[in-house]
Amino acid sequence: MACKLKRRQSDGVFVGDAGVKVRVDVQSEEPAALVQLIYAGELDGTAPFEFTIRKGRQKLLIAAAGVDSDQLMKIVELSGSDACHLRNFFWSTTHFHTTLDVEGK
Amino acid sequence: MRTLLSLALVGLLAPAAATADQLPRRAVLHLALYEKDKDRAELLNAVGTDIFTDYLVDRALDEHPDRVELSEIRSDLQLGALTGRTGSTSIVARPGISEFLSAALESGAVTRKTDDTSMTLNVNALLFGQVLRGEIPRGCGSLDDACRQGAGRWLRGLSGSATFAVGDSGATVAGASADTAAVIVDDNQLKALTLRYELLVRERNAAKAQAALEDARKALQTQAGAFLTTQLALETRIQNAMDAGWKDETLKLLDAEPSAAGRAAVLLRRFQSLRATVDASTEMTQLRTEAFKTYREYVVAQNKLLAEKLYRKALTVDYIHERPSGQPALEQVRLVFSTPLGRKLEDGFEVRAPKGALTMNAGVSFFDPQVTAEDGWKVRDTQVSAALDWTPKQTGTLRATFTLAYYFQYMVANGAIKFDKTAITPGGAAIPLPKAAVELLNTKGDIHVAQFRVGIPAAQGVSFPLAVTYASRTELLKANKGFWQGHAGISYDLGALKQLLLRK
Repeated sequence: MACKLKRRQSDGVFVGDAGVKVRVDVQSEEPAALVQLIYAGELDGTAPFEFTIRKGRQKLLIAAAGVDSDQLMKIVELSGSDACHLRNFFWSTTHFHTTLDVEGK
Repeated sequence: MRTLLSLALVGLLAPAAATADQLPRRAVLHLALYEKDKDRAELLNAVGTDIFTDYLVDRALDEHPDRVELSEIRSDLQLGALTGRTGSTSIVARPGISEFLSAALESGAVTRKTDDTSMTLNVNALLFGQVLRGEIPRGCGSLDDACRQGAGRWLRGLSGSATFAVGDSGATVAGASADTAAVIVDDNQLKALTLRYELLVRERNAAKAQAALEDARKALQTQAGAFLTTQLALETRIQNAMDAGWKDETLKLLDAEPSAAGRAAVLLRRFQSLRATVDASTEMTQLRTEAFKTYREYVVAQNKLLAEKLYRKALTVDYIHERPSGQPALEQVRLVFSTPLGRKLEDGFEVRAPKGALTMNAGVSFFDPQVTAEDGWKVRDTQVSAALDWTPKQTGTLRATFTLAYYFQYMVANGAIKFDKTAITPGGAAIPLPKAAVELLNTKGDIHVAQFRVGIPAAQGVSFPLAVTYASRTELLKANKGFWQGHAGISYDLGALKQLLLRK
């Protein structure tokens, strides 16, 4: 299965088809956990963390937990058994969330 | 005393309280990744709304000093004397160290029958490191990564302490045998100097840590939801400001800049200009205030959980230079280990500190070679001890900690007392000694000590330890019977000093 979000190089926005469900997670060499996400005002705190792409531009915010300062995490889109890398994210106890701009076509 | 110390230190450290406007850490890291791989995605990450709000958070942390100290949820701090041979209220050393400054006044030694009173000052090396770097000496707060990255991560574990005698400088020592008169021997105002390194034994087992994070994740849902909701509102509004030309212009400038340092400088200037826009907008200022409030609530909850789950076990190495009353100097090396008991969260959302803790010490003391030159570094005694702490649920305004402890010391070598020619008997007769002298006493064998202790917290950072101890004998007298001894003290964890500094 192909991943549904592609990053636009001009402005960094992730683009996908409206109405499609997307599952995301964090990956890291050190232990890490996705705590909760919010997309278009809707929270999801239970795995599988997913949202449905809306038409137009919305923000996806992801809060994570880790163990090391400056811990490098990767936000990934899960598609079947595949994991597509969306963006890097440095986690610390004071900066623990990251934001993706998602645009639905 | 606390006020005086606080005021004195505020005066000393105030020149270091300047802060610099700088790029947020994550912006620096993304730019570094860009320099390494030339992956444009990292430039795009560096100009994201999340990274710009990092910048706003850093500025807000400078302006809002209220922080929750990890020490508030730790009951394993050793604030008093690190040796039991002088004024002390505990026969078992705790592994934790002050994350800033601490002071304690204590009376009653462990292996000597005495009413010695001592004053102990303890300072964390992290504080000095911050002063030397020209930063606010804020120690290690839960809203601060200074103790979890770079040199601070290692400095955080290092501390030094000095214990001084308070009151009379002379000490009465019983004679070596029943027919020998008691004498007053020389005494030292400086009783002990200690270097301590705390190894934060984090649960490096990845599976365990992952399981702990999963528990933390569930417990953080409420705070995460509140934070993400307010943060989304803020970042959406900031995005509008970025889209009005700021982002395109910033990317153009970053692309055109040939050097890494230049790119960092450009980004900082662009963040500063966008901040001016945010500050000028009443709507964005309001959104920022709400987001920062939920941010703090999340960080406090998160760090308590992470501290509970990842930072609680401790292993400490102590080096102690002791100068006990009337005895030659001793050097001691000791290991201190502590583990909390009952760390599981009792419900999904409320964080509760562990109710119990087990602490163990093992140490060995040496005579300084200058005392027994023919023997070199001769072992004097070895010690092992253990303490079981129980902190029941708070009743009223108090949450006392009760401790049962056992201490065993084996005197490998005979003890020694030191005289000089100024030594006099209590009656006033001088002892005719040509020079300083050391007399060896027949003291080899076991010493058993048991203690019951209550630690009563008072105001923030202030605690009153009270204890009663039974010892089977003293260090320097083998023949006498066991004895009871009372201990009392007061300790100050001077974390509040940080608040004074940060408000400046």
